[in-house]
Amino acid sequence: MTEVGLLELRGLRCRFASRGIPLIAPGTTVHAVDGVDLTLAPGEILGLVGESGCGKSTLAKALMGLGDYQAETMRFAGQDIRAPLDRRPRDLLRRIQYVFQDPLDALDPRRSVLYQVAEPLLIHGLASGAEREARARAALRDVNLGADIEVKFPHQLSGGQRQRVVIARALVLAPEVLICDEPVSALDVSIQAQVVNLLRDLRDRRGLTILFISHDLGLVRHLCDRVAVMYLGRICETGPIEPLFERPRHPYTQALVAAIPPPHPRLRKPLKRLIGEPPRPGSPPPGCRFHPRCPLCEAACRTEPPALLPIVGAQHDGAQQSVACHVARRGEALPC
Amino acid sequence: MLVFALRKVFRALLTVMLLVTFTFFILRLTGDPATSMVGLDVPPEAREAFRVKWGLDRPLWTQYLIYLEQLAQGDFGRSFVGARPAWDVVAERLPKTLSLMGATTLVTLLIGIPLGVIAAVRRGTWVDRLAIGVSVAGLSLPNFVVGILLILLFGVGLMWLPTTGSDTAWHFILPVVTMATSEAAVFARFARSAMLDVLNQPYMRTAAAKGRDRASAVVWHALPNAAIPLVTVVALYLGRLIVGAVVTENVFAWPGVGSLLVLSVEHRDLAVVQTIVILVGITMVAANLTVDIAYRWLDPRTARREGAG
Amino acid sequence: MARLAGLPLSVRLSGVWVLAMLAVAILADWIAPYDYAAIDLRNRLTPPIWMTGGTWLHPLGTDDLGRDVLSRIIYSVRTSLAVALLGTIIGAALGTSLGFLAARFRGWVDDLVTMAIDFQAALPFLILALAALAFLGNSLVLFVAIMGVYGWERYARIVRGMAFAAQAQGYAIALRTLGASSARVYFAHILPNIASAIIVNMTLNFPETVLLETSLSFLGLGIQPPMTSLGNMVGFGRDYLLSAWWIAVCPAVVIFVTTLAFSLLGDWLRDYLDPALRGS
Repeated sequence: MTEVGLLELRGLRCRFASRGIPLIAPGTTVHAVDGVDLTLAPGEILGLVGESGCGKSTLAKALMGLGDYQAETMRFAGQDIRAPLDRRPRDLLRRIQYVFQDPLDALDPRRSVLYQVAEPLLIHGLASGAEREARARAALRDVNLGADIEVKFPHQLSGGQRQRVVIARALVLAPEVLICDEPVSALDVSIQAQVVNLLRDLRDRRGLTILFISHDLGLVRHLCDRVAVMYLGRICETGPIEPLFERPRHPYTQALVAAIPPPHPRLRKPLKRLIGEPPRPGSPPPGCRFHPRCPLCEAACRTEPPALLPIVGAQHDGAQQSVACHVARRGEALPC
Repeated sequence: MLVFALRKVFRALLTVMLLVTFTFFILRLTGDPATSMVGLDVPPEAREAFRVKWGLDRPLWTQYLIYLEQLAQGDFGRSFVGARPAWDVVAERLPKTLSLMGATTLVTLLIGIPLGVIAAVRRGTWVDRLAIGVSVAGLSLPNFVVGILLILLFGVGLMWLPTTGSDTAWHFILPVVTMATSEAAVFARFARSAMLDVLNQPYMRTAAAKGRDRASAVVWHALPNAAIPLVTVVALYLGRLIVGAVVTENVFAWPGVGSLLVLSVEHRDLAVVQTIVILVGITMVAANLTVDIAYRWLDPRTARREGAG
Repeated sequence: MARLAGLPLSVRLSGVWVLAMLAVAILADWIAPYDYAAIDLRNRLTPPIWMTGGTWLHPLGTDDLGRDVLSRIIYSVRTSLAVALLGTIIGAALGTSLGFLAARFRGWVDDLVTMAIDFQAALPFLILALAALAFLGNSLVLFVAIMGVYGWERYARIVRGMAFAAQAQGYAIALRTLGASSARVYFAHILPNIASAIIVNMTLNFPETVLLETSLSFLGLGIQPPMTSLGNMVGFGRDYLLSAWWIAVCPAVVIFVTTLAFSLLGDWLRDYLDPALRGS
């Protein structure tokens, strides 16, 4: 199926170069993201999940043009956006917005809330004076913040308020895509729900397309339409939420899904545990990257990296479930 | 250590090159170097000879190389005021300035270090507060103000001491006191904080706990350790001393390099100014280099800290 | 105001003196009894009021041309403070801009700025100032420019370090993703966040600039007549130490008290605003 996405990504690789000592220790290059394809359909919320260090944040930053990355394709609404942040057209910087993990860090400690929410309009020359403030106030109202916080400074706000200010600052530019990098992981559980509901509401009302990065599968299941599971720089499984959570194919996804705390203690199943240490991204294993921890590991897994391929019959409302696993593929009727 | 030293030497040479390049270009910026270096009152043929000798008819890049070559041979151009090689003019005044600096250093150490040590040992008492007060005042007093006041008091008022010239040992007293006032203030300040650091070290507290005589502990254990950070002050001190000498020599008409510099600036005797600037530059760079290497050698902790960072 | 109650006496006195000097500098035209260049040949070398022969016409006496010493000091305070203030502002702007440039462009720009900082820090500034005056000739504009260059490297060093830290912070990256220009990131956001360190350095740099200005003027190489500065008053007055000491001593005392007051205030402000800078 060849659906044209709003945001299309093919063959993304992100490098981290550690500088060595000249003549003594050569520098090493690590690919934190090593060949990832992703497509976001307009108005969709895609969840990107994985353990910390799997490269999901690096991927998000690359979409913003930050970091050291290369891609075969990186397109937004058909337009090539492979250029780094500083060389991107200004209009692009308006249409794609980024929401940071730590809202306290993402806000200037010495500027008022209203100033910081209005500032993007100033930067892009979109409105002047009173108009700017009015639109900033409207953005704050959109994220359910009252007028009393306009004159406050970031340190005077609660964590949830700060993150909503950051979201308001992104929304004021009326973007089409919101890239949220673990937007709620720094917040209390009760406040997480508020922010997540806010994001869903924004999608429903404005047709916003959202890439939601998280390590919390429960939240992803609650919010997203589709999910991509990432392990050590690669996507190992992707598909629509409900089918994927009902029937995960990749052993890593299975372990993650099994580890979600069930809503009721009586429903608790024996936990399928991940064995072994998460490997260091500095020296990824050959073959399937998950094989040292995989209970189903076979000879081919140690040498041959599996491709992410669609599972025949696992198609739901036009969305395809795909998996990158030699063993799982044998169990299904797969086209290859 | 060797890598460190070589890197520092390389940096030092780079700084000197930068300085020389700076003077070269600024001299070329100021108009015809032949006129400004030789002066207007020499016959045109002499100016032409100078021009050929310095290659002023050739491209700037060649001129620069010639300039470097001349400097390397110790040729800094001619002083048109003295009508002699600029280096000779500077060199003959050097001993006067060096003796002034030497005497000042002696007095500075003899006053500044004991003052700082006593203040540290008697921390928080009136002795300490007095020492801090004196050192703040000393730092705020410009040399020329101290000099003028000393002349007024001892030269004009009491008529005890000579106020101009450098003929006898008596002539040294007022300029040396003038310079040492602010320098001792700097040293007292640094000696105090270095000493406080050492006195708070565990081994000093151990010495105190063992009931050792405090005075001997201070002299035999604390002082040598406190001296190490003081090494870093040396380059700073030298810079202040040079500036102090320029001003002080002028107050007391001391016939040294400092008065020569001011005189040459007034007359725009550029060859002499350039000689002095390069001389000071090389001295400062050498001092900084020595301090860096000596400090590294005396205090191995810096090596470890740099290695870690 | 309650916070001011706990101030040491020395800091309070310094504050009063600094305010008084600022008032004198601003109000010079109204409070000076005479014009600083007004010559009164009938009252030459009049001693100050507390000495025999002193007169209320000239409370601090007159100089060899019968010019009123008090009036000249008042105008000199204005000149010296204005030159030092201008120099301090130029130095702060120059050093801050270069520090930002180094942090923004890194690579060879950073290397160049760092090298210039080391170079500047290695040489006594008075010597460089004298060389510049010799090579380029004396003019008021050049002299103020020299005062401005003085101390730039300390601002540059502080700002460079702090900007490197600040630009790695989330808010700076967030602004870039929002499309903000470098100028906006550095001057509208990072600058306010590091302003206190710059201001502390300005208060420490200011009295040093006063000392440099007065020293050069004393040597006859700074402010030139007919303008008057505290330094050149002392310089001219030293020829009359035998007969009329007040010509040199009165401005000398003003220099001493003023730089002392600024230093005490600066030290206090440093400890008050930025405990992290203490001892450096």
